[in-house]
Amino acid sequence: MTGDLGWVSGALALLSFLLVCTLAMRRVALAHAERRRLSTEERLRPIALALVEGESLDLPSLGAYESRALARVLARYARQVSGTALAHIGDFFEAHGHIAREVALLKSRRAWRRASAAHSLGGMASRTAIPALMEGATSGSC
Amino acid sequence: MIGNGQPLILVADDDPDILALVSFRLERAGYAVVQALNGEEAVQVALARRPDLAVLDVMMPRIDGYEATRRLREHEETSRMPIILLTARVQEEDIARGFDAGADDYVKKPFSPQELGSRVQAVLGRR
Repeated sequence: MTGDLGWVSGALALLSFLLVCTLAMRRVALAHAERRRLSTEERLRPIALALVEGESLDLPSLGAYESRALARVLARYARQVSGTALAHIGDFFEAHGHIAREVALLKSRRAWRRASAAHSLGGMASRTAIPALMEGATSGSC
Repeated sequence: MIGNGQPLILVADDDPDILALVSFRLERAGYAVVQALNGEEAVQVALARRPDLAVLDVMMPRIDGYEATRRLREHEETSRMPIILLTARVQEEDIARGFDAGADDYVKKPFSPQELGSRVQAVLGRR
């Protein structure tokens, strides 16, 4: 009996240790991901600001992660600006296929994906997305 | 003015995105920019650098834009510096409060960077 208790307490201690290690590793991984996000956004900020200003620039070829980061920064900027700056942001999202991709996701079978697409489209400031958003809102799918 | 004759503008906002958007527009328009992340820092920077104009957010930590404006008006060095308030609060009483504090103009959020640039130019031109 005492031997069984010893095994059980040993197993529990080991599990606790593993859990703490997992949590610590997750914390490190999240901190690393956050640092990467911030540094990527910082690097792309001049490009995003030039796009908001409507400056013509040769967009460097960006990987998927960087493209998403640039879209995220522009979506944040879209909530802060109005007028031609907002139109420039909408133009960028339209020209790079972001609008079409998110509009297609409005028809997803998964509710969270439709909601996420509607939220993204709201931040992209594109007039062409309005009919699809209205349709989603009236059908209750968004 | 700084050494090369560029007017110096103080931009204060606790939101780094707005700080970047406003600063970028003003730099593109040919102004030099100094930044502050809260009202208290804005007052300190203004007293140290004596900018030609300040663009202050209303809702800032430590002291808000109204209080920062009041404090800047109390100092001899900054009492005549033009101040533009950047605010999401556009009720009549909020706007009146800004002018009562000593602001010269206000721009509402979300803001047009082009309009802000024009207002900065107009306010500086009047002085």
